[in-house]
Amino acid sequence: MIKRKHKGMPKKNVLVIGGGVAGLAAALELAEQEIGVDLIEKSEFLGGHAARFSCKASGECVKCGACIVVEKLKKSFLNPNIRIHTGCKIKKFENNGIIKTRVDKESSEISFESDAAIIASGFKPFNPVNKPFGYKRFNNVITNIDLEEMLKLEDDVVRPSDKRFPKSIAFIQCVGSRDESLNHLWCSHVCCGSALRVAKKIKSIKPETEITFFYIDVQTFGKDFQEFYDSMKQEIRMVRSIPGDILISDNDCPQITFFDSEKNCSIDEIFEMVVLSIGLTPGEDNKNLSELMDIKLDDSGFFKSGENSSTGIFTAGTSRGPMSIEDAILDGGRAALEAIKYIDRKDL
Amino acid sequence: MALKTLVIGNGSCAFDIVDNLLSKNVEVIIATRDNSLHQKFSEIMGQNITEIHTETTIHSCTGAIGNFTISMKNNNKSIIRIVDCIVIAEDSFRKTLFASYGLSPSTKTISLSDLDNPENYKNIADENKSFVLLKGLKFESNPVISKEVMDSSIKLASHGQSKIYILTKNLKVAGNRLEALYRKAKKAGIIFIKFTDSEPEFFQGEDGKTCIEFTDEVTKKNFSLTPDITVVDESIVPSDYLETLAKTFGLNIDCSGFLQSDNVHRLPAYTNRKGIFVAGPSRGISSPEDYKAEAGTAAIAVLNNSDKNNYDIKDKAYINKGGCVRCLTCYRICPHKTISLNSTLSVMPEGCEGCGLCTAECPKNAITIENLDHKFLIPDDKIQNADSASKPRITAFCCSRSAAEAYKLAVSIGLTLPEGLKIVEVPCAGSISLTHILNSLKNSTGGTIILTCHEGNCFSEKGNVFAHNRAKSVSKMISDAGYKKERLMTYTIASNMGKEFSNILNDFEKNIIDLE
Ligand SMILES: Cc1cc2nc3c(=O)[nH]c(=O)nc-3n(C[C@H](O)[C@H](O)[C@H](O)COP(=O)(O)OP(=O)(O)OC[C@H]3O[C@@H](n4cnc5c(N)ncnc54)[C@H](O)[C@@H]3O)c2cc1C
Ligand code: SF4
Ligand code: SF4
Ligand code: SF4
Ligand code: SF4
Repeated sequence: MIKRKHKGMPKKNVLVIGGGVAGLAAALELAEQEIGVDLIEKSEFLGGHAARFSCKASGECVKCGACIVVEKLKKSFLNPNIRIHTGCKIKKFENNGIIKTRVDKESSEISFESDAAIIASGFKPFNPVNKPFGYKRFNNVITNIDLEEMLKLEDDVVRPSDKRFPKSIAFIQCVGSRDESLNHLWCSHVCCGSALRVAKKIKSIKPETEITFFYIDVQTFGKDFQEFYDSMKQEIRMVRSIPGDILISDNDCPQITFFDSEKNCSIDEIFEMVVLSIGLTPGEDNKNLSELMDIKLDDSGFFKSGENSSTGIFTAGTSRGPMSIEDAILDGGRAALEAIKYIDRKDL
Repeated sequence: MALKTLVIGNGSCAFDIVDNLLSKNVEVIIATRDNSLHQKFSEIMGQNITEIHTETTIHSCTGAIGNFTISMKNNNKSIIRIVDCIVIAEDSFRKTLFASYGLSPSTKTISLSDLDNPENYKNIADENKSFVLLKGLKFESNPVISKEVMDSSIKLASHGQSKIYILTKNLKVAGNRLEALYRKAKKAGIIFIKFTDSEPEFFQGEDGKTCIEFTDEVTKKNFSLTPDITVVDESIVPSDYLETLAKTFGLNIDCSGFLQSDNVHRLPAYTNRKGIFVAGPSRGISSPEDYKAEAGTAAIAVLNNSDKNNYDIKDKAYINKGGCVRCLTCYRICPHKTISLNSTLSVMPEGCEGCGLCTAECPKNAITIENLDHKFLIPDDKIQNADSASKPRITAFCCSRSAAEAYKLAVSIGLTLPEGLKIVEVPCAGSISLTHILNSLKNSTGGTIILTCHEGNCFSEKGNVFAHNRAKSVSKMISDAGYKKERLMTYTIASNMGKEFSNILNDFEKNIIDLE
């Protein structure tokens, strides 16, 4: 129970675009410095993607970071300096030293004046329908996000086709990431960790589940990665190969074709369920926001990392490229400080 | 009055923190073991608000946020300063990995830092033709080393070298633009050889050259490479000073020895002790770009968390001097190191997180938290549907940071919960004492359930473990006395798991009904 000292209306205001972890982290730090924040979020809910993720602990926390969002949300709702506007779409943006924004909310219009702005509009999960993995065509081919939501909302892991616990599960990594054919020349940073943590959780619920992990390289995550990885290698089968395609077999079971380097040939194997580890791609509004606010995108379509500190517009979180919840929070704090320094400089 | 902060460190990250703090008019004291400051600091030397102590180590630290007394040692001189906050940003060290490959350093077998050293780089690149760079073959590497290996290889390739091999297990590309760098390296003609379950073998000749033999995992062919230069990768380890600092300040460390326990509640820059922050190379392994972000986050943490008067005293622990027998239990277990030991023991309220670990553990019940005591006395009308006498009364002790949030989530999305449920929200499960559990068992007709954070997710580090251990001992007591031990259960849960909360409680209710 923190007693907030009311220092009157904040004199300076910052616009934060996007209410995911990065935007929330930035808004909270600004608000603590007695800066007013207009936090605009286009969906009806704050928290962004991370708010949809499940806890992956099985008694012991595996540091996925998903629960931090709850704390950030609670603090944002309690902070009088943060004005939350959900369901908003930016219509107009003008920056002549003072930033003037107009947004549509339902049928009405709201306008804000701000001294600086932070873009924290996040990422878009890769849509795998055009990959040859049968997503949306085969019931039992799901994405990592579908699995996260299932764990969170149902507190269970089941095959969509018959609501049974799958006896065998294959994870396919790097779907939509590290993919030259799509010109996606980036690693999504988080999906190796996400998949292996979920795999550990599934093993702890039902140890007899057979899990196969198809991958290119396993990325380091967490402070105790070496130990975690060594133990996972004992529990699940690791196959260093990305499958070619998926067909459907009896009983709605997906059949995966992959190159087995040990046998030096292509083989088919049937699984009860397949999880596609889809990656992070540039947010769907990046182009629009980039034109509207005159901030450049890099050749991948994410916002450029170099700060545009001369105009008072900053970027944070996964709008700049793939990163974890932890890094998005760090980045939100950094962007908040940049904005504060910019406002101080302008005042001089 | 200006905020005063002690910054411990002497590298780029420490510099960025100091620079950020100075721009917000914070008074900064820099302390480093080194005998001179990093040249970067010359940019800000002139600013008279900076006090610099080189060849200085931290001897002791007492007090709490807003009023830390730091005693430092410079040769044999002692320096005492009072500061509001402390930031630790000591640079990490590099450890060469020759020994793990069974190799010895020579002119032909060198470390990654030797290759990157601008003084001898040109000679090495001019005088040799073929290069093998080893990366992450014995230990899992990280994106920072991965980037250095690829950058160096590309530099060699652009220097005209054409025979460059990188031997790696998992190639770490989870860093900014590293996949693109990997593609660029391949285009520059660098050959990547990846290992999964097998490993190359290393032999070192008299001349110091390394011979590498392996079977290619794809073609199954045997290869032998004897490059002019073999470059051995390095690991990044915490500064040896951190161990001392951790002891002096009472801070927890992670499994590698970095100064922040592996607990998501410490993100981004916090430690277990309020007002002491940690950043960059003292916190973990990250890229120089990320360290810059961390320097920003640490600086803003100082600005936002230095208001020592912003609390309600009723949330803080208080030691009743008459009752205390100086057993020092509280002093030992306080996870936030905010109990001071003088002629009497007292809680420094500025640093107290109100977790209640001390109140539950004090053998003399000499410690109280005013607001906490009220929380255990929730009147019966708070019980959902108080008239439903047909259903068992269930008391659920819920940690405010995890279970209580999961409960609110379950309610907000309309999930069903037991009708006779009574929620007792506690700041930390560690505050639930034996007495509380026994009283609850006596008063609730159904059962008592204790819901804590998962292990490793407790804001007070071990509060959940204390709660589980107490419940275990009560469980033993009551089953020895003939009560059904199923009436007392413990679970761990995270704040974002509404459905799991409802499942746990409904199952618990069902089991209680089955007992009757
Ligand atoms: C399957 C999967 C699993 C993952 N697992 C983990 C994990 O275990 N651990 C981990 O650390 N990270 C994980 N991540 C990464 C994690 O999701 C991100 O780090 C985090 O969500 C980034 O937060 P953000 O605020 O940058 O973006 P987002 O979460 O995308 O939030 C952006 C917000 O901005 C809003 N927005 C977008 N455009 C506009 C606009 N024009 N106007 C207003 N609002 C707008 C969006 O609606 C959204 O609410 C995972 C990601 C995926 C895809
Ligand atoms: S960090 Fe992840 S695994 Fe740990 S408690 Fe939070 S949600 Fe669960
Ligand atoms: S994190 Fe792992 S699965 Fe995700 S893109 Fe990178 S290598 Fe692929
Ligand atoms: S635990 Fe209780 S009795 Fe022991 S030193 Fe602390 S206050 Fe005194
Ligand atoms: S309540 Fe917690 S933080 Fe406060 S003195 Fe007791 S153990 Fe320490």
